[in-house]
Amino acid sequence: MLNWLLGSIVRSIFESGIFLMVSIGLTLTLAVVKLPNFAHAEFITIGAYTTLIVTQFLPNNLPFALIASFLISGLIAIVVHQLAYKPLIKRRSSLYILVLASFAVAQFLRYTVFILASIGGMLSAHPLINVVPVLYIAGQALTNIYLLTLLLAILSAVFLFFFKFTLIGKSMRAISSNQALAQLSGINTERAINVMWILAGGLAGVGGSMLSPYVTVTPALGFNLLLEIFAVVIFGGLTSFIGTILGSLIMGFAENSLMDFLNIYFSVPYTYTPLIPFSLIIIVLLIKPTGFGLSYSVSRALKQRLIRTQSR
Amino acid sequence: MVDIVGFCLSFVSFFGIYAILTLSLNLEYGFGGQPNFGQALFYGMGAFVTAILTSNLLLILTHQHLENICTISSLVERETIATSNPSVTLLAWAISGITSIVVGAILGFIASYPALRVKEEWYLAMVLLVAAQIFVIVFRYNTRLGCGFDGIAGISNPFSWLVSLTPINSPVIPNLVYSAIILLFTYLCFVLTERLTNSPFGRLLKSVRDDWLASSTLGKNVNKIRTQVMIIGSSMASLAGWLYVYYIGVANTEDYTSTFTFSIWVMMILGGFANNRGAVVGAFFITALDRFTLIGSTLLQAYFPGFNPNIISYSKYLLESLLLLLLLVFRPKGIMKEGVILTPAYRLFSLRMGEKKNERNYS
Amino acid sequence: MAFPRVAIALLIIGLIVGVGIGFGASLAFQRPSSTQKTVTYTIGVIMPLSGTLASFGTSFVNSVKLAVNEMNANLSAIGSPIRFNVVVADDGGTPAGALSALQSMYQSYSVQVVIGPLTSAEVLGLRDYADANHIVILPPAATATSLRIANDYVLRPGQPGDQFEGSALAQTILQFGEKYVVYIYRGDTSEIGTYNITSGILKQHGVSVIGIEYTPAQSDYSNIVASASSDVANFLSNGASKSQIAVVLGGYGTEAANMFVHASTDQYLTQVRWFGIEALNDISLLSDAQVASFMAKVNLTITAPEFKTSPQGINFVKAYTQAYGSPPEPYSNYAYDNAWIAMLSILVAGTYNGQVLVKIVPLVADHYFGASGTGIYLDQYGDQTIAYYSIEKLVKIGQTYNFTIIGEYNGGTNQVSLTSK
Repeated sequence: MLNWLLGSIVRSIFESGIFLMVSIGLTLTLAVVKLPNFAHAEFITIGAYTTLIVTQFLPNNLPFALIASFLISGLIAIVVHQLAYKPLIKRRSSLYILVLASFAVAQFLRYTVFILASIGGMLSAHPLINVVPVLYIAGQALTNIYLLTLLLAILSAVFLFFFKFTLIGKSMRAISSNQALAQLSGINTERAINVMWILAGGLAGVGGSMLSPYVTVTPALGFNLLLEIFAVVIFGGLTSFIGTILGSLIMGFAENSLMDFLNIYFSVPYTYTPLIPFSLIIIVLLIKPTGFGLSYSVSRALKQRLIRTQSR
Repeated sequence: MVDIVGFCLSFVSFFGIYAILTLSLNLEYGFGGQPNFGQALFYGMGAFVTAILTSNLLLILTHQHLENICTISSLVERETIATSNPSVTLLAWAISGITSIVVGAILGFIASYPALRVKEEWYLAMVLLVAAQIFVIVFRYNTRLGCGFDGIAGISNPFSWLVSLTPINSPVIPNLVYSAIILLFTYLCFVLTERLTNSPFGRLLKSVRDDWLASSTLGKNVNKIRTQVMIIGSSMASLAGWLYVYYIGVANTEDYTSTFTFSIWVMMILGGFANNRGAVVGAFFITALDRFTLIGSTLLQAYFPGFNPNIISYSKYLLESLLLLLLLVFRPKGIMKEGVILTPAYRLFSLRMGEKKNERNYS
Repeated sequence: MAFPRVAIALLIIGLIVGVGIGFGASLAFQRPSSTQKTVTYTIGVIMPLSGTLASFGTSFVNSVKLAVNEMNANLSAIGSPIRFNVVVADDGGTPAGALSALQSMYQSYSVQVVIGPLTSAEVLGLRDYADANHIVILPPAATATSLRIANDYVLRPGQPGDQFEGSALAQTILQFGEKYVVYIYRGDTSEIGTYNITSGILKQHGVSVIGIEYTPAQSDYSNIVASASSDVANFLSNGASKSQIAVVLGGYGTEAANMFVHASTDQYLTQVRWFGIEALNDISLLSDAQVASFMAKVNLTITAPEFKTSPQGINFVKAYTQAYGSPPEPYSNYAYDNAWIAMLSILVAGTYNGQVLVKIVPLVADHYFGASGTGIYLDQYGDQTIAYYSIEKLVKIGQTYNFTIIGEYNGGTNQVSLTSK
């Protein structure tokens, strides 16, 4: 009777891995520069397109594609920060101005990709990567991409955990807790913030890269995932890594295993799947708004941003 | 030949509806401090309530059997009634208008509940954003609520019966009348928000927005005020939905997505928030940008054969986002600044002191 | 304080100047040229060029342009002073966008005939305006039954209604002796309609049908595929044999590709025969080795329009590929045909007037045979009533994958006859 469960769990774990990689960058952004970056999803699209282009010339060359996606998405993230966000943060803009700016950046990036894709005839295309089943668990195939995604997700989580103890990691934590004080202590905040953007954009790009063998690459690829990514980050209390890991797991399992359960036992059609992340957001925000792991100092820093919002 | 009259009419219609929406958002966020990232929900609900009610009313009022409003036969029936039966059409129009305002008010009341419940105000923004998405999904996939994917069609201009009455038989007449009505409602909403905000209530709103703690220590009922502002703002948005669905003729969820809410925010920020004239200017600017780029591109293609269209249609979005970014960086307060609250007492006071009337350069 | 006023003043001046330039341009280009009085008729095209359907929209636009270029070449070769021009507008896939696009076209140069939009939802948005201003609308592939309205300005000489494809699919499945069917279909009007028709016929003949509806434009459909897989597994464990179980896919494009990738690693779904709709004959699917090899493995059988056997159809694909570098998306042939029908109607009528054209278009369409491979006959709703489908199966020939014809469906007699399996 429960033979659907194992396969469902496998798929949930894969999705959780993807969500982790694409959301952890947003958590970083929120923690360090307090910016709810709605353009984060576009880094995913850029990563997917980079993989598409790279595999045209080097088919099935996953390492190369991943590295290229990481670098290009990270680069675009830094450029976006320097050109659009830094001036706004410098003049201490309110939260909603930043949100709107990130919407504008997202639209700009998305339609640039549209134009380039339309010229290059790549409005919807498939990267040349073979998806090969490696082993079968209770009828559900564990493919090379699933395993790689899991590996990368675990590696990213571990890396970021130990990153906290490096010099740059510590600088980021200092900036996240109190930027002015960090600067006064002699920390090179510019450099730390730039590294943060490379990481945030790069990880999102790698996530997009891992999605692309399954999902055909279109310019709206990242945009379709935007609200789910925010859901993941909200579960995690916005700025905590553990929280984001938890959030990704919740999201992956809710969209797959929970939906399978509802479909099999209550005949709920799969077309209602998008309702799950949204309902979860509402429930979390109404019951436990701080999510599952908000650290005290960061919540206070976020409040600072809001107070600035109110005293215009 | 460019049809200036038609262009002005369609421009004015879209502008009027967008202006009402911007005014409502400005009331909720600019004056009231409630970030409503789900305004499309109230707009869309007004539209769907109108569509469902009208579809049924037109049949009821002409003493016919109620049938499934999603079928072709009922669509044809609706359109026939609209072109031939003035009293029934106008009555249905009026009733659905009042109902959509009431529904909007109720929804606003419900939406203010999370505002009171969550600690941080941006949570409200997120909840409303998500609620708007849920609305879209539910109405798109549930055929009993909104006729599914294609929406509810056949909501004709409530003045279509004028065409057969006029000698020239031109479709311009109903459009003219309806556009004038949209402008009338826009003006009414403008006057309403101006009176509302240039009054002690407006002062109250601003104090709650700027420092709710201080307000509540002074004995003001912060929760009640927030609820009130949400109710008024949501009813206005639903009113806009009612006007809009009669203009376009179909209630389809594609028109009420979160991307559209973002457009309204752009209009508000552009024009300058906490400034009703600014809201109207912002709506005018964005509508102008949309329609002028569209008609500019069609004109160019019509008279210069071989012009590449794809770049033009994408460049509209690029232009919009670039413009918004530049504005946010260089002029974050928008085109018009927040003004002084011009209560009647203040006006009298400033007259007495000999200052210029309508002095606006405060803050 | 001066800034807002100056800004508004500049804006208003800019707008007036802009409209003035447009107006002046329109007057200037109305003047006849010195050598010969060229008469230019401008057809409008409204398609989603941004959003999830952008690739279809772009392909349709290109097909219309191809038709217009061919017509212009022929007209100039015979020394005719008539030329056709195309104006394209993006509607973003929304009814409001479609209405705005049509309004702009009408207001800038009084468009009288428009090819498009793509989906039935967009058509509904601009229907009232088109009827009121007498603009003929020719949506090439919006097959929703909600548009079967008589005496309006929306005519559909393009893709035949879903009832034909539904019947063809059902009969094909029956002729293969399938008794247990899992039908995965896209949650849009067209595919829901096709599903209802197909499953209705199948159930009448005692076939068990499980329907799985999926949300369009999502990223990943692994759970849909897993659900189908477990349904197939259930059938097998209840004693059905593999040859009696079938999976039908009422979907296309990136969603189909995603599902095929998932299905290719599934042990149950690779053992049964798959059926599908015509849109699966898509070069983006066939050129992806992983997807195509799965399609061949499961002997994917589709109902496809007969245009591949008609010379016009073959020429259309060739010309499109030559002009734009890659083959057209599915259904683009209908856009091409609609453009030709529109242009021929204008030539026959001798005038560019919507009220006249709405009467001439059915006449011309009924006597037109084009890239879609069948004749056209419009009923009282302005919809296509002739449907000829070929039943095709995907096979691997050497290193490439292609669909070969194994039978046909005649919409007139509503019969499927298979020549091989």
